[in-house]
Amino acid sequence: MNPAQLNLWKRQILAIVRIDIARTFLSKRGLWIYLLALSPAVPMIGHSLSRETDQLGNDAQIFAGIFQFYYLRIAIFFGCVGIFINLIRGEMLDKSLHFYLLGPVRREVLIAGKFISGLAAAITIFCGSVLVQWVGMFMHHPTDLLWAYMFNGPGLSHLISYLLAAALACLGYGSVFLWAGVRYKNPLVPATGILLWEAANGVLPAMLKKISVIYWLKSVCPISIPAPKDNGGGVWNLLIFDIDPAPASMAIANLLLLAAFVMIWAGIRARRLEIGYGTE
Amino acid sequence: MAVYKRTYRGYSGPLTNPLWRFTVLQRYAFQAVFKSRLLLIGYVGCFFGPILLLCLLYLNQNASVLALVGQQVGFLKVDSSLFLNFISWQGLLAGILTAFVGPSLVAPDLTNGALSVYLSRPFNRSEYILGKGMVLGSLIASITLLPGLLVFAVQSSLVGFTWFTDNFYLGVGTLLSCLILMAVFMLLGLAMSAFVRWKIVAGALILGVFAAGKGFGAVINNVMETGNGYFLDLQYLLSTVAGGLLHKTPENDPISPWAAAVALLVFCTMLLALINRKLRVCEVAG
Repeated sequence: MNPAQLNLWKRQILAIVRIDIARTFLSKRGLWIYLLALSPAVPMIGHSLSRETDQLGNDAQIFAGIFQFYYLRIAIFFGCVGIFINLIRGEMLDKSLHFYLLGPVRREVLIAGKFISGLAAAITIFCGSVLVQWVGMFMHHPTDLLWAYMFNGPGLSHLISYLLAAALACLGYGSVFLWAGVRYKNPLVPATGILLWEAANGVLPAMLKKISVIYWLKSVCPISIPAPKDNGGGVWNLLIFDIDPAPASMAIANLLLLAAFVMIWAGIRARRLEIGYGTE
Repeated sequence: MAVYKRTYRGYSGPLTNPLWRFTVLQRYAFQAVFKSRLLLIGYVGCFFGPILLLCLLYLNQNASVLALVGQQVGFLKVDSSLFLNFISWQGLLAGILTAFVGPSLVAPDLTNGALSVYLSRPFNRSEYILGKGMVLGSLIASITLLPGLLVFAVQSSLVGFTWFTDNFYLGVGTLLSCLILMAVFMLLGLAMSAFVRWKIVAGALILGVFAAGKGFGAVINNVMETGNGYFLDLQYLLSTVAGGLLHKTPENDPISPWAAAVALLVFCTMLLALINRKLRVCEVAG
């Protein structure tokens, strides 16, 4: 592979990212993703405004519960469905995908460009929301206590872990949903299947647990949430489960490998991508 | 060459009774729905649970078969818990079915500008909504209401008239719970389909309303230390109302069945307003 070709691919990817990133960030169709991402921040800010004194440890535990139960499993999951499926199927709907396919661009380069633009948007939105939630949750505590928690305690490392988990969730779910958008005419079918599989992760055998994104994401999270007893949540309690966590480095490596594998698969599948605007 | 006078002549064939005109839409929409083989398989799969339950009910009263496996008659307790769990499970399947069927009902008509073609016939908006909604309604009823009532009827016939009279509230509760479930899912499917107009996103949004509502409600409950978050949890509201109708309300329930019913009513009104707003053909001002 000569450097000129690599350089060309790099420029093509950048061009696709430049076009797509504006569409992903500013599209009216994607407004609900901002709402989904920022929705936990509203009660957290309300919590801070309504309380003057509170246990910092309790707030850290509540934040961990919300992050693992709602943010990773629902907000980022559905947000990635919206962002990444839209990259290919959305173009089909707008009847604009043929402009890309008619250009002298390799399909793999197109998929890579689309994925990077989607990933940039997802990481910015969801990691940005984690920061807003963090500020919203802890802002009512005294400054010196917060300073001690952040820089002399575990606060900063927890925040970095949450940001990393959110970014890895965007990477893992994003790659899977982009593949689904390329592979299936109705990506909702695999998305529902993945949702059910991820939800059932708590009751799966140890071996099968590892064939999911959420297992590795939970391994990156800094605080373990115990399963509640007799809270009336029924089958929804399956969403909160204790795992025997893998080392964080292994979790990161596995999620990167998963994303790379799925993207290569999507790239190969995209070679056979055909447009059928009439059937969309 | 003969020149024939071609002027407008009204249709002189038989007319469908105005009362049942909505069924024309339902009939054609059904054909479109079952074109998908995957959906058909999924729909058939929804009957697996009811058939299993009916077999268990039969075995539950069959002493000779139970003796073979070392069980006694009545090993399965048929009470409000069983009916509530049955409705919850079938309701979950109905939700998934709505996510797949709902978006294809209205969205294509809006995207392709076909609504004006429908409404140029002797057919009003209410009939259009009813016709499209009944596609979902009849599918949901066939996997929730009919099996539920069948379970009640089979149990009554197996145990006897005394069980029927003693547990009549279970039959009524099942009927009303399934009708409420049907109305909510029907309106949700149509509203999301009309709101988003893109089938895939509309389907994801239907699933998202349940999942995000549940999650966001839990966030509010945890952060604000309240029980009011449950008002955003559609599945919880439906179970609470069904629990109330089946006389199975937990003592420390943060929301009463009446409050849950009012919340569902408000939710349905909002969905109906959304459908009403979105399903408008071009209006000429002045």
